[in-house]
Amino acid sequence: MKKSYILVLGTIILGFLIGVFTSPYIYTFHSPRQVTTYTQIVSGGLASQQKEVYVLEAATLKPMVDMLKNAMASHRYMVYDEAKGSVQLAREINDLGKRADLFITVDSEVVEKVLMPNGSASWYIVIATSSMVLVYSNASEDKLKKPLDMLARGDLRGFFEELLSGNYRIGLGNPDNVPQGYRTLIMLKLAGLMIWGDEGYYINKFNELQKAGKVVYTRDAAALVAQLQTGAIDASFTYLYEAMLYNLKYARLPRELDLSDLSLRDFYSKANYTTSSRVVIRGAPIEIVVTIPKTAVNRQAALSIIAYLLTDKGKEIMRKAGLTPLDNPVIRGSDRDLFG
Amino acid sequence: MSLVLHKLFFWLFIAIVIFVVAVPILYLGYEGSIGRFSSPSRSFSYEVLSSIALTLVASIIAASIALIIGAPVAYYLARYRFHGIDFIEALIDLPTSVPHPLVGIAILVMMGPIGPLSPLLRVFGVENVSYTLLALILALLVVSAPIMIKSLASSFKSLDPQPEIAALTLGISRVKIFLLIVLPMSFRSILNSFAITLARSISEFGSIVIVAYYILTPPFQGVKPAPVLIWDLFESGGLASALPASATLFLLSLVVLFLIRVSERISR
Repeated sequence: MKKSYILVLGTIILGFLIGVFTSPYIYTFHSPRQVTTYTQIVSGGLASQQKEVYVLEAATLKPMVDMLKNAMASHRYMVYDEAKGSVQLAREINDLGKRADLFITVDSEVVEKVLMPNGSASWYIVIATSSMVLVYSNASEDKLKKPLDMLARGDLRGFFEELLSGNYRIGLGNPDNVPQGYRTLIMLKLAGLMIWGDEGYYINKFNELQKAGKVVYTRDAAALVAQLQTGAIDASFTYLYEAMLYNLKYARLPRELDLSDLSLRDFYSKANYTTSSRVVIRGAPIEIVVTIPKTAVNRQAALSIIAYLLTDKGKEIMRKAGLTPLDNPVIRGSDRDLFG
Repeated sequence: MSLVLHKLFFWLFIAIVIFVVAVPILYLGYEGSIGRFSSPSRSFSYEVLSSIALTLVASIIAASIALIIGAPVAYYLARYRFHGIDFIEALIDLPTSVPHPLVGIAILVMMGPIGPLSPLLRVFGVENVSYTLLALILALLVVSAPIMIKSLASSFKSLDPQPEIAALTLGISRVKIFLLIVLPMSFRSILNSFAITLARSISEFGSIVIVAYYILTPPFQGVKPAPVLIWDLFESGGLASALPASATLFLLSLVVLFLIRVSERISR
């Protein structure tokens, strides 16, 4: 009799403990704005002592963050990171209150259009740029010989006509979720503007090809590369550093189209893309930006890492990762959240 | 008194398990259907319904194929001991231990336009396997067949062997015994295994996001499988877009799984 009382009592206590420790995880979105849960306070307190930093980065920036991680380890910083689609990460910060001491992405629009309106961030620093290139694989190199020759000769009109003729299967990340995807569409609009004075010229062709299954969307960069390397698609447009990361073959585009030149900002902004959730994204240079979101716990360490990235050693890391670091980093936004 | 307490002991654990396992999902369904994120137009939009239809059709086909090719394998593994049985079982279990995106990539590497199986596929008129219904079903089959075989094998093992032994002494072949005695006898456990396999297929995400992010050919042209669609909705529109759609998927999964359980009970 006594034994069973102890068992029952033990069970009740066990159930209570399980409930207490799991409920913050299970019900975090009970109050989407209130982002600090009990466990975060606890781990956050520990984190600042142990110099633990949580970095969320766009999936394609993983190699850079890995190098950064090694560099920071010598300063006794423990960097934990999560590499995913940057829009998805931004959503998780917004809607799930996910902890992010540092958020690094390849598009300032993700910070401006997703994080900032929600109050999850108020400023960001542009630390580097990259460029859009045409990528292809060993498998599709022969097939793409004709348009590649045209591109090499500078025959842009012939290149786009041939590439969008329906003879090649082209892939891109879903433009609603993946910056690389909408950047491709913006680049095509710019090409239409440049060559025909009509931004819809190539987009219309592209949309028809999509209906015919000659253009396919993938969910993220990794799926795109899998499709490319297995020959399921022939070509794609993506970032130079991504081509280097995955060892893909690539061909450069003119500066007016490759979205790398900060001085061409006005021209790039003539094209835009509207996502399915009605967010209008302007054409803009590819900017690698970093911010400290409101869900940060260890702000001090995050600021130190940003400062490190701006030094020569930090720039060397970015160069190794295929990025072009800026000599004069640009900061945008307000100082509202700078001090937490 | 003591009996009540002993029962209470087990019910407490049931309560804990349900709290941890089912309550978060039910709560999500509640928020998406009648709670704060309620939006019937989003729950029952054409996009959501067609994607759930695609997922159900593909999962039912995959589970049926898994049943047809898996049942004989499960029976053989349950009733025979032979050299290398452990090896065969390990091979069958392989997909459950591999990260699922790799299953998707494996299908592309094997059957993509430059894969070793592509000439064979071309004979059947499949130029490029990626983003086809075939690829979707294949991926679901790979991840769910091991579950079907495991579950069937354990039920075949627990079957009373007396009727089979009696039939064997009458000189009836193993194949006939399997088809005419074992299968009808284990109708209930087959339904049970079918339900588990179907559930696994409906929830699959990792592999299909690579090979069938959406389907290129009619009748499901442009339709994304439900798990993929819901995650995409979350990415592009946050919880307000994703929860109403997930509520519909939960509801349908619950109905399908419940129907299978009920038919299992009726067939008793």
